[in-house]
Amino acid sequence: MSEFLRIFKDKKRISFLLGLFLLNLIFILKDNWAAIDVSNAYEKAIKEYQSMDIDEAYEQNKINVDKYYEEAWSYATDSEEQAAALKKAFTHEKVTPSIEHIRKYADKYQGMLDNASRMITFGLVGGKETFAYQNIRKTLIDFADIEGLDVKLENDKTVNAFLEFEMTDYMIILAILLIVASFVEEQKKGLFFIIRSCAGRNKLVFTRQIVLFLSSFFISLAFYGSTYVTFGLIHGFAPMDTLVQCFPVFDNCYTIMSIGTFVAVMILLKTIVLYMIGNLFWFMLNLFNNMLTSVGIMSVFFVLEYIAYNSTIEGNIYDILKYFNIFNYISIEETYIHYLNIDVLGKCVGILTFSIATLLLSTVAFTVIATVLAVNKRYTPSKSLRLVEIVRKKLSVISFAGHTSLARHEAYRFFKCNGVLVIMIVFGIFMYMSYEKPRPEYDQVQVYVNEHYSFVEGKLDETTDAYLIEQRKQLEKEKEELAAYVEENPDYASTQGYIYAEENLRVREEALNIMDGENVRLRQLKAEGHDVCFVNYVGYRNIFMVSSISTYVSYLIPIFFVVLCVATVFSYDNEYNLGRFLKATPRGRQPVLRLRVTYAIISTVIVWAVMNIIELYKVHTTYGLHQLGTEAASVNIFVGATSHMSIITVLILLYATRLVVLICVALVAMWISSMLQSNKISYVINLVALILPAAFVTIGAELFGWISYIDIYKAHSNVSDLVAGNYIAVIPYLICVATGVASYMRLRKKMCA
Amino acid sequence: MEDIKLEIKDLHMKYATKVAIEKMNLELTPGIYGLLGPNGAGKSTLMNIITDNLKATSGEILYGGENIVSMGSAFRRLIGYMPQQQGMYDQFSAKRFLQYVSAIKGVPKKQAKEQIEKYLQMVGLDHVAGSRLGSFSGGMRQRIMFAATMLGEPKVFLFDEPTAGLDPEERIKIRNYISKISGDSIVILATHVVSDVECIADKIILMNGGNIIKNETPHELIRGVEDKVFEMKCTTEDIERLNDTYKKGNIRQGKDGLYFRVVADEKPEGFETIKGEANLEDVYLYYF
Repeated sequence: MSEFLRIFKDKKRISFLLGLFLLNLIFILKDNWAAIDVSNAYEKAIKEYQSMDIDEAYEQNKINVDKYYEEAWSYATDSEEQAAALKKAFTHEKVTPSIEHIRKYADKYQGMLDNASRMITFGLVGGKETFAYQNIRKTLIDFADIEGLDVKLENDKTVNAFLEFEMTDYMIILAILLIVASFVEEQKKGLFFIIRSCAGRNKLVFTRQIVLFLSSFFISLAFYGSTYVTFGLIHGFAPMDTLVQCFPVFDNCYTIMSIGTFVAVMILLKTIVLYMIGNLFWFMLNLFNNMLTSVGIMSVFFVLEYIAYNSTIEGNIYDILKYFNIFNYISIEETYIHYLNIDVLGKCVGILTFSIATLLLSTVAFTVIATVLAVNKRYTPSKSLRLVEIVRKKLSVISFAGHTSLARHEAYRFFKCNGVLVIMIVFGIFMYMSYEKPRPEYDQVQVYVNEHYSFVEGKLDETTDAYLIEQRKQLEKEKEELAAYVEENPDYASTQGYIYAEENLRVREEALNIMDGENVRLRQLKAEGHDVCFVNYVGYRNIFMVSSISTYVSYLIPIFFVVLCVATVFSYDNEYNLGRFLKATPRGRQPVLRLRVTYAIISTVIVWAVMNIIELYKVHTTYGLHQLGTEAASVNIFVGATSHMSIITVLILLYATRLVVLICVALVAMWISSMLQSNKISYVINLVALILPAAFVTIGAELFGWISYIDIYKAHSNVSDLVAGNYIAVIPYLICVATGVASYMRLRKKMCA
Repeated sequence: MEDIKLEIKDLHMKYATKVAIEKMNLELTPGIYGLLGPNGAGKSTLMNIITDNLKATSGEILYGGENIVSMGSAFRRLIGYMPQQQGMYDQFSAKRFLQYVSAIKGVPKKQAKEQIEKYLQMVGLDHVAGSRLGSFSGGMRQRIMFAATMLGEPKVFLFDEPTAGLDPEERIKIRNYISKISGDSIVILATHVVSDVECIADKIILMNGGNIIKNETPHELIRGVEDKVFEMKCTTEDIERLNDTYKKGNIRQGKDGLYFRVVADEKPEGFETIKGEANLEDVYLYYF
């Protein structure tokens, strides 16, 4: 009981756990809050179809979708009425897969039987001893119970959202690592020998296993329970006794159970997964006696597991690597919704069975190993494994040992001891895992605009005029022809074909109006002495005019990682009481300061480069960045441009200002670090001072923009103002640079005076 | 020949309302100086001013006639400072840490290699040169700090409580290392532990409340209290009463029992004068 109290009465620990819990909810709300209206409409549509027979619902759904689309085309483009009609059409269209699923499900098993019979008859599966034959046979057996199953239409949004949302999986892992870290606190606080000399030391180990299991259960229950409930409140609940087979996402699930049972089973399975991971971490901590080494080894292990999980191609002999894998256990719900059998030592085994069996085996194994190690532990403060010491000594021969270059020693200190190398690797992995190519969504008008630009881009002369005139003539001609046809055939005016044709002409006219307007604007600029031409603005719009939450998050990321890199540069000396000693040496002041600032800037440049190269790459490969050498005034987003700056100059200005902002953030973080006596406190204070305000701006609290660097980092409007000759836009940068310079001056005074 | 002389002239250091060093004047030439005084006497403050970690309120310190502040890194190249706190990077190995210290002291590579090997051997830690400092005991860490102080072969050594927290054997080792290095260097050893300096110091500087009380050889100091040392035989039951009465006294285990020892200008009642047996601890008791 006292061990429970010790762990859960710790205010810092409870705050972190609550923080993770709230963060999980924030992530849910951030992505789904705006979808409440859509979800309400969806729920209403489902209820409408629930009152009908499924075949009737299917027909009615088709009619409704066509009806609302037709209604939408009848209204003016971009009008409120059209938007409302389109919303209804999309909503009913989204219900279609559910209706189709219910309609076809009754015949699913018969279909499987027919398919199997065909495959066997035509000799496509080989003999009874082959895996293919066993696979078919097992599939029929597994799915036998679904025959005649009564499935009905239900609201599946909550279930889909719950299954797709992965953030909770990683939050609970962080939570359990926090609990396990408390098991080794006695080592740091010098209590280890007292505890080891007591009679109850083994009992303590077993108590901790109970703590770990119960923590795993309550964490899973709290996090997944709240996730499901939150999604339910946003998207609407289906009754908890609804069979999972009623939802399209469970089309390949043969286990007959209600959604309530599924959620409960998930919580139980995640409890076991969490318990296993907790024991794995505990085992690592006891093995390496060092939190950083343990976290490092765990991270490497997770990376290797992730690679194995994502690289394995289904159907080959390495299937086992994918399903005997920690990431498979973390996403164990996937084994319920994807049906697959694999060859395990010649036997046909389902991935669900295999996953659960190996999960249980791994859990037992890690529990036993962790317990045995904890019971038998002989602790020597900060002493690593003998093997690690041997490796370290060997490595020291080939590393910086033997050199007395201050630059190399400071590099070792910065990248290895301050953990910057690990942070950079984590940053790289994060960027790799979060990379997503944007999917351009063009409306019809933009499609035609893009087409016109492909002809006129880079030019502004008689040929462009001639092209636009020709396009206008063609359009007018088609309009006349349509009008003439309708006059001859009045019935045609009420057909779908006419509506589409008229809409097409309208969209093309709108596109042409945009091009004509652009032509006038560019001609005027040319007359004022600007060297401009037609430039498709879409790519530049995606750099300069984005303001969604997800893009704000992408501005927060570089600031976050830069602060992490530099937060302990100077607090490291304070923690190890080396400040006075360094200052008493000939090179321990200016030279050391310059080197540390240099390495901080190098790491900042790396973060900046990675972030912005990825941004440029994404935009250029998706939308294209055209005519970089021409004047920025050519791009219509730079309204009121007075400067003769080229587009490439503007881009350089934008990215250069971001680099300057990041460097200033790094300098401020280092100054804060110099005033603090421990690395942990430095991380916390820096995160509170520099990251938290930026995070609040990201979720919409604009007031925090005054004390955060994120708005200046975003920089779009400032750079646009500069192009327009509005030099007041420079002021935020000057203030930012002033903070950076002031921080450096304070650092220099502290270290060198 | 280099003029190795450290002159402290009218040095004054004031923190807000507290005076840490009061108009100090001192001249130090090659030799070992024991800076003896209780906690708060100003010893560490003096060390920090000499190493330019603190700016004095007024006064100056000259080395070879030149102000050490204006000498800057040129002066710091000549000093070897062992601070009171055992400051080192736990994640570094012993050898790497000494290489790092060589680098920040600007010791040329070849010399650094030789010196690191020499001093690791001297302090008896060459067999654990590759081990992490985090795994070292307190005594081992102090010895590494000593080796780090020696690097660059400084002319002015500053040891601030070098034996703090060490067992008697480690204390003796450190004392022996210090006595070996004096040569043509100025060694300032700040401590409140008398035994650290009584055998090795050429001169003892007694310091209290920011002031220098005495600056003499150990022999001269002891002679000064020779007739002021008094003892009384006592039992363990008497000790509490005697401590309450005389506040500052020392208890000695003699061949035939316990003796309570005081150092005072006048002989207290019941005490016997002890002639010829005064030591530096008696000096400490007398002045502090």
